Amino acid sequence: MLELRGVAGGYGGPQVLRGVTLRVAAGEFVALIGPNGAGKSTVLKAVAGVLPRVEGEIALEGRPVQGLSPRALLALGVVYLPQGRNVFPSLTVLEHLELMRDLAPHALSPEAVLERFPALRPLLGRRAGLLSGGQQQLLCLARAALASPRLLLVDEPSLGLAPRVVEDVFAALADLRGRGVSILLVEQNARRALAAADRAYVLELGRTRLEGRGRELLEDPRVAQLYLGAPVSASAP
Amino acid sequence: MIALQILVYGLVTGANYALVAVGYTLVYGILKFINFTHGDVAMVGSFLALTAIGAMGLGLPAAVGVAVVGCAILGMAIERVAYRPLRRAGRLTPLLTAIGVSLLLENLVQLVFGAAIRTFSPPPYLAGTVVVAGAYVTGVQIAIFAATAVAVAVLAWLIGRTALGRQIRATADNFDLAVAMGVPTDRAILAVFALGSALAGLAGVLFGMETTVTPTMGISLGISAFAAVVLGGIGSVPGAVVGALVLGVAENVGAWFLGGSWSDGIGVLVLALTLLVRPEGLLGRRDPGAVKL
Amino acid sequence: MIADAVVLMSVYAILTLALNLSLGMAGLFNLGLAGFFAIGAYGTGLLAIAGWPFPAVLAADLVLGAAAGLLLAFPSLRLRGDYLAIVALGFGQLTETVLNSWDGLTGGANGLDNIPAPGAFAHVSGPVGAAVFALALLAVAVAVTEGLRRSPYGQLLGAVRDDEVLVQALGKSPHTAKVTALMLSGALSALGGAAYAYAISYVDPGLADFQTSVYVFLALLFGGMGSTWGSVVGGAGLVAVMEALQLVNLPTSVTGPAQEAFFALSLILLTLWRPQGVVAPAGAGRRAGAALPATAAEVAEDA
Ligand SMILES: Nc1ncnc2c1ncn2[C@@H]1O[C@H](COP(=O)(O)OP(=O)(O)O)[C@@H](O)[C@H]1O
Ligand SMILES: [Mg+2]
Repeated sequence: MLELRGVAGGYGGPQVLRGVTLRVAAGEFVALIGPNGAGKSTVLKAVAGVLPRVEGEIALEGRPVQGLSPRALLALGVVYLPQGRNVFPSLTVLEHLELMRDLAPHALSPEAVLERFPALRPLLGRRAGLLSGGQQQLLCLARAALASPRLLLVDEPSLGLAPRVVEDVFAALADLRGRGVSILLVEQNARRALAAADRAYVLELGRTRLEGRGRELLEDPRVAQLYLGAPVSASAP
Repeated sequence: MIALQILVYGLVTGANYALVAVGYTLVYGILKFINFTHGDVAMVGSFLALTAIGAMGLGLPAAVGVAVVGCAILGMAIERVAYRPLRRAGRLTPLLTAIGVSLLLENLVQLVFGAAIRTFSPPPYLAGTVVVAGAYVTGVQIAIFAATAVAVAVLAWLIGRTALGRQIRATADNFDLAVAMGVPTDRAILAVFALGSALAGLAGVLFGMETTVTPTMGISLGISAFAAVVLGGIGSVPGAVVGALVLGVAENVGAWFLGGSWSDGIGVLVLALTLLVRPEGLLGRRDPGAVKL
Repeated sequence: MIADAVVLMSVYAILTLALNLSLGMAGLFNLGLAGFFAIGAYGTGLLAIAGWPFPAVLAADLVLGAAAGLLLAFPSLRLRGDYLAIVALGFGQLTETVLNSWDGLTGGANGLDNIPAPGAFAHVSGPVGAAVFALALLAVAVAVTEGLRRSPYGQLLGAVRDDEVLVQALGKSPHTAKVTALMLSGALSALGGAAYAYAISYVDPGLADFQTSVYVFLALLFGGMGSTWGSVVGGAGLVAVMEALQLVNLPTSVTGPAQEAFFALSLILLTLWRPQGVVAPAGAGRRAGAALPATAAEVAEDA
């Protein structure tokens, strides 16, 4: 589905990414973890078409997509959820769904999405700025689901949420995966991400350093070392 | 009765300002930027209508069409040429191109039409006068109220109820997120300039029927309309309308007591006073910016 | 002819220096410049006609300009920069309205005529005396602005322009710095008005026109934001081009608007294509492609 090979890039200053190589197979749920500031968000931005400078190869189903705008990527079925509260404060919940419906080529109806996110139904007329953090994040996922994406890029969806809401978020991601959506998830909360993902990569200082099945990485001492900032002797995969 | 008559004139002036004010507030909502050329776009609308009626012999409805479409195109051209290349250059740099465009428009119009003061006569079906509670209201004035009400209602529907309106509000709320989500933000911004400028064009025509037009009228018209926007609360469409009506009445009351030549100054004073006393305006929130309806 | 041009060159150079102080050094978009200029010119005219001696007129004029700057600072400086721009524009328009409408004081649309030349320069014959006088005031303006630019106060203004929050963190008041910059800019513009009124001996409300302000913005952008030398060359160069355009043999109903359109277009094109200026290109604090520095807050917002 998605393949990055030797991707480098940044914001105009020093390079933030210095060699990112990773793969997301069709229908696969891949996590990208790593210490704060490693460049995880920047990797997603590079794929999503919002990073000012990108070098290297980014391919979607074998087709090069670097330099495409978020709009062009949406037409190819790529949906990107940036880090943070990604709602428009003055638009209502329903308007968020309608906004995506008008943009995505294979969009579902708001009604169909509300079946899967019943918690949003009583909030349809409320402005998103007035929702709780958890409700906002659910709205983001519902909006993404409405686009019926082929690939979902999602950045720290559990950040700042109560544990119970974090479970809702991961349940929604699992549901999407169950429907055949490929997912590339960036998380600080490595334990939770590795438990949910099929496979994961560890990013350090702008390079992918480790790769493995979620459970394996969870027990790998080198992962703990990376999070403590110690250098890793093993070379990148 | 004189008070009521002044009120009528004030509301007519205010209705006209409202059409211009809405354009400022829309552009401010989406770009957080004061579009200094806006008053001059309305001025061009007046002269387009003047040409349509005078030189081309068209009727008033067709002249309105010419002014509205012409100004919409002009507004989009200004955005594309003078503002878009500077979108990441900070807030003040586009003001330089803006004042350049203002002066350019004034003088191009002057080269074509000369500097003389112009009026255009209303069509016969608007020539009558009715008496409402002792105050005279002309057909033209009724047409101005009606046109303003319809135009603002159509705008409110466009912004509040359509796909384009959602995209405009999303872009105004959070530009970067709108881009990341695939909202066609450039198109939304162009649409805002087109809508605001179309209403300014309509205002230009109505203005021309009620008072006189000159190539230099854009600046004072722009300042008054902007004062109305700030008075009502910048970024808010209802605020712009309310502010415009209040300012229109204030100007006419002031002109009654001080003499007509002072009415231009009242907009400036209202602007300064509002900024001193209540910078968020009558209907504004503490954090101005979002387009509200 | 040449002497007249020298007078106008000096006046525009002084005005450009005044704008450089507010916009170039402190980042304040003082679009009411023509208003200050007209206030200075009328103040000079009225007091000189009333028989005040030259030093008293000049002192009163500077105070008047500074007071006008203070008046403008009140409603606008605590708000974002573009609010100052539009309030200042309104201030210029209001000045023109007052000059036109307060017939009893200002002579209305006819303006003030026969303003007596200052004593010290009266014995130098006519136009040459006027030119020497205007140049002398320009020299004063250059000395003052260059002195300010190099002083700690000048550096404070630069800091306010680039990063207001930092200035606050250092325990200085950006607000005081901005108010004083606007007052100084007002006083300098009034000095330009004094040069004009004394040297030309006639003033009218048109001095407060928006177009004058735009011309000075063009001169400053051409000269290069922040540069004293660039401002002088920019202001004088602008007048040189105006004079050259006068030589084209066309009716004034065409040359007037054509000249304004030409300068307006120049301002647009310079801003888009040569934002750093021509004479003394500006460097520091500016992002690529921007004529004016963005504040640190704006840079952070865009990131
Ligand atoms: N908008 C930006 N402009 C400049 N540098 C940035 C920007 N965003 C992030 N960076 C830098 O890129 C590096 C990686 O950031 P990021 O990708 O957000 O890390 P992570 O998501 O892994 O915590 C950091 O050093 C950060 O300072
Ligand atoms: Mg991150």
